[in-house]
Amino acid sequence: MRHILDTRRRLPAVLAAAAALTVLVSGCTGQDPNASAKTTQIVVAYQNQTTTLDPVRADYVQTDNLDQALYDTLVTYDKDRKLAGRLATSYTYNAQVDALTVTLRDGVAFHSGNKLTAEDVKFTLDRAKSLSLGVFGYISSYASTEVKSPTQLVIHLSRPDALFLGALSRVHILDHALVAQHAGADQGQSWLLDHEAGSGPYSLKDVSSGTYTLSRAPHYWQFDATRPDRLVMRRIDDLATTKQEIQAGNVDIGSINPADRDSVSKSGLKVTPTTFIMAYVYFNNATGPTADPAVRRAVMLAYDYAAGLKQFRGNVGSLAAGPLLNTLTCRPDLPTVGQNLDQAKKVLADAGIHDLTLTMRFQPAFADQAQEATLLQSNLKEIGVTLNLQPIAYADYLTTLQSKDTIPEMMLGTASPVYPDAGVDLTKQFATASIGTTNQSAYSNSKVDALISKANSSADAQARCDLYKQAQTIVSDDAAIMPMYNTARLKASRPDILDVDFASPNGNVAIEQLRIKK
Amino acid sequence: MSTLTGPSRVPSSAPDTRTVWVRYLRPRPRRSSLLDIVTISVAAVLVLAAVFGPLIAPDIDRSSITEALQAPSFAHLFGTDQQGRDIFWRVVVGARYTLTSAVIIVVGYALLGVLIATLATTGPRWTNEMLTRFIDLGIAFPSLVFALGVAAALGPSLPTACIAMVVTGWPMTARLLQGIMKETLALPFVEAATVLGASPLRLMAHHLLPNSLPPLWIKWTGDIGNTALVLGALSFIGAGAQPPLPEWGAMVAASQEVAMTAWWTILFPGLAIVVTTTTFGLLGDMLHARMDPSRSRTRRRHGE
Amino acid sequence: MRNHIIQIAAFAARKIVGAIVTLWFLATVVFFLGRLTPGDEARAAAGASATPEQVEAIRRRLGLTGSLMEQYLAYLGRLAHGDLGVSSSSQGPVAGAIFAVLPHTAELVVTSMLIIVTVAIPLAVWSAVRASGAGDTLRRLVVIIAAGMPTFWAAILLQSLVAGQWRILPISGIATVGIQVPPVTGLRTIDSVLAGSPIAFWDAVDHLILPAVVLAIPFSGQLFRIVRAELLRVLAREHIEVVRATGVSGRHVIWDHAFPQIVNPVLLILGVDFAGMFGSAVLVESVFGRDGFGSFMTNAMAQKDTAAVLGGVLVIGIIVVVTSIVIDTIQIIRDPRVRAKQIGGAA
Repeated sequence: MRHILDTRRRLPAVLAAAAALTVLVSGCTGQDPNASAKTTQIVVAYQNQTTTLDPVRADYVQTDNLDQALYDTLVTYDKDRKLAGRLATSYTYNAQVDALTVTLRDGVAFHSGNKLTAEDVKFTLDRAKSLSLGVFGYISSYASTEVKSPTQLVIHLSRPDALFLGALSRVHILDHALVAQHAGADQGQSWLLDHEAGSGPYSLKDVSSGTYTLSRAPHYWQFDATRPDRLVMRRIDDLATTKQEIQAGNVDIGSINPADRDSVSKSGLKVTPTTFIMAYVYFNNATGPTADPAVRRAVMLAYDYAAGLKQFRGNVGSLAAGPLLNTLTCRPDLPTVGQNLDQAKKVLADAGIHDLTLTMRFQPAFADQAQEATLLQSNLKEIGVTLNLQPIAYADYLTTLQSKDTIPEMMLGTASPVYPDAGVDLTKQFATASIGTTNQSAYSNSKVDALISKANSSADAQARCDLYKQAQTIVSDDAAIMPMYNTARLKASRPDILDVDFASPNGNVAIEQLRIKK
Repeated sequence: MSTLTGPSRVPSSAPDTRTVWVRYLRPRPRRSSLLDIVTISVAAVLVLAAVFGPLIAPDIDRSSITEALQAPSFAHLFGTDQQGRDIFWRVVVGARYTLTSAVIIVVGYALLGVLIATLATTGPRWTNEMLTRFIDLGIAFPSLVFALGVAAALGPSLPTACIAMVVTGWPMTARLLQGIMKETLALPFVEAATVLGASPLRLMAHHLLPNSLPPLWIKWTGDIGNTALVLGALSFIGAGAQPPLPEWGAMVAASQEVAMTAWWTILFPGLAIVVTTTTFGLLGDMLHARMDPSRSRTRRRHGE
Repeated sequence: MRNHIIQIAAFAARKIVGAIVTLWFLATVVFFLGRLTPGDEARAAAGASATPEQVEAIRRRLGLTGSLMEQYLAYLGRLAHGDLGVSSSSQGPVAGAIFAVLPHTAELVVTSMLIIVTVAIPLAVWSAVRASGAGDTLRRLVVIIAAGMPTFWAAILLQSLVAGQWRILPISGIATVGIQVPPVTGLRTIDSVLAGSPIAFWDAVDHLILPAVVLAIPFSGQLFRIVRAELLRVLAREHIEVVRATGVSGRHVIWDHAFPQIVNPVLLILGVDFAGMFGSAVLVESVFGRDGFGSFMTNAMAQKDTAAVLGGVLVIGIIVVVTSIVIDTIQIIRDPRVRAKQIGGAA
């Protein structure tokens, strides 16, 4: 025992010396040894866990962000959110809108060297169908693929589905030979956790502890020298830490709190709103106290929207005017929301409703949601309605959506379209057929159903647009949901990084589009 | 290593011949230092705030965004939070929830832990083994999972969080106490007492517990502040107090995002917790000093 | 002698069997807790846009059909083969996912423990020796206040000052971007030594310092106070005066006679803290941008990924049980009286 205690006395001195040495040496290791003047790189900070790189899970936003850089899709959305070809040079529906003829561009090769052909497209779609997971939810009308030639194929759908084409912007094409090599017992899912089999502008160089290093693929069919040689994705959950790293120059682009916008701009960085989202309260339209439209309208008139936008979203964005996000096209002109406490009280009084108690669920992990919920609670108290707040985890919330009796009375949430097509959200949210899966408000109106199904079976883009507008008007008149505001996240970035506002189909920053000004 | 007799009823120049439990209830008075007086005064203020706070406070739940995030001023002594509510009054009203919960939780798991540790040390060999396993199980058990489970079953609220924390808090106490008592049990004076005919109960009450508890006073009183913070973290993940309850820990957790620019939103509730921790910590030191069964003139000379 | 060996063997056997029983209880309780709380794992795994048919297909694939008992027995069967199952959110093996992140948290916890042992304990001893007067009161207050501070404060304060403004240490991360080290054990410090790269080693240590200090603060404060108070109690005992009277020097009195008396509670606390740190490291890891076990567990719980949660719980359970056995064994080695009671046989 004596020996151990003796070392205990000397150990502090030894460790103090080691600490001093560390501090001195740390000056030497502060720089990234590989980012010299020759290789350009952009370090991107992201927030949540990237569960896997497997494209079948590109329904997870983190996965899709990385896969957009590592893979190619058949079609994508350009800077103006218009559908454009990526691997596909032409794409046409047949008259019944249940078969899609696609022509692929020639001369595309995967990072592995294998040529990209129609077989790879067939493999990718069949795999998604067989695994029945993730992105297959977006292309659930897929039936089979008919390969006509290495660059020609026909995709057959099980029903008319005009939305299928846009959904292909989230389907990343796999190198079928490479995946077959590593298929294992689970069709390659464990291998694709941290490997890629893509043809995209970047290839995966390294994965470790949540940091993904991508290097520019030299033989990419749309090679662009203004793309950085390297993209590094670093996970930093805390936004205050992200801000410090950006200001220190260790991170080149990342999200910041709206409260920090001014101090970040002052330090010479560019601040851009990206990742547009809409904040909503979803009501249960079928059962419970919120099935009464008077209750819904009263709640919609009680909330202090302007205050919420200003205080909790940093005044980024605008108040809602219609049930869909304002970055989408095909939206009708609808009135902007606003608070009117007197009107709210009148609505309740006219309907003979007194002593109302409602329960709202929200996700406590999102601080802004907790604040919005608290504000609504206070607003409702002023019109004599008691609001109880009950947190819920997202996975548990998904379970409650399975039946209209278990859907919460009120649920606070944010949403952004899975790809920029008005039809997607309308079908997901407001079709009767979607009750039990994605219809978060148990909303059901046969007129809306008719409009949606007519639009989804039509190949004419203009006709679809008009039908969607009509549907939105009805949804808004029915007060089905309470849209709050169109808002966005703020990204701080080095001033020489271009195209920060180029959105990926999922709405986030398209990292493969980031370029460095020469 | 010393092999001399351990402590207990060691005679000092003025032996304290009262039985151990009387000493706990009526500690022998000694000169109180300034620190002791300040500590007791602050504790009194906290208790007053807890008892009378909600009765004298104005409306603390009403959101008024136009006044949001104002720095401390004469109108709002501690400033306003993101909802525009006065932080000073929320801290005062919050005393009741935070202090009561923290004290109940710590007292709860202290009692439970002492009970189980006692049973685990003095029972027959097989109960010892079983209870030791049970204690290990308790330590390994993920408190977060349990808290979420209880919240799912009973609905998230402050009482739910208290139950969860008592059930997940006793293993630490039990393990510590059991380990200390195992050593104390092996000391010669225990054998001596047994030989002299002391029953297990008397052994426990007069010899084992008084000599094993002192480190735990410090742990328990130090835990009170930490408990408040954990309650806040639980609210954050949806297992504890829900808005608009002004629970201090929840206020700290909720203001993390704006903490850098609106420092007062996190400083004052945090300070309330720190003051509580410090006060209870110092009270713990006072307890530890006064209730030690071994007295000697050396200690009194040190003014302890 | 032979008798002695048999007794030690019996003791070891008791401990190991006890450990297995504890782990089995743990797995069972958490399994049923997970299955009985609301939330459909198959739904979460299939994704938000999944149709009911897709959800059922996933449910079958994940083995979530069948009665609760069937699932439980199947789970135990896999466990007996060392198979922790497949994560429902990533479709990858749970064991792989855990051992990708556990080493980072382990490094952090071990570094924190080193700091506690080498800083808090000697400081506490020193403070006990000088235990009177205004200086002492001030020291006690500072320690209590520092230990009572919310971890978030300490983290943000140190990060923005030491790393952000003074630039002495890194702001966040496990390593500087670009420094690569072939992962052998997963512990970056060890791996960089194995790879023979001093730059990588010091880089890893740099990134450990601030988070380890922040993590250590509350535990240090508690240990400081307990060591100090207990040491004062021991120093006040009559036999210390006797020892002093025999002419033993001050330093020897403290370290050879007084300190050994309090090693027992100190070791117990360190043992309990060690396991507890794996969980409480999550806030520190989040602020300092380090991938770790805490966020893995939080994510698994949020996604209702029961296999991953169970895997994590079992891993922590093993750490707790092993630590417990180690501490008990040390206690027995140190103190022959306890040895007599535990192994000797006489109840």
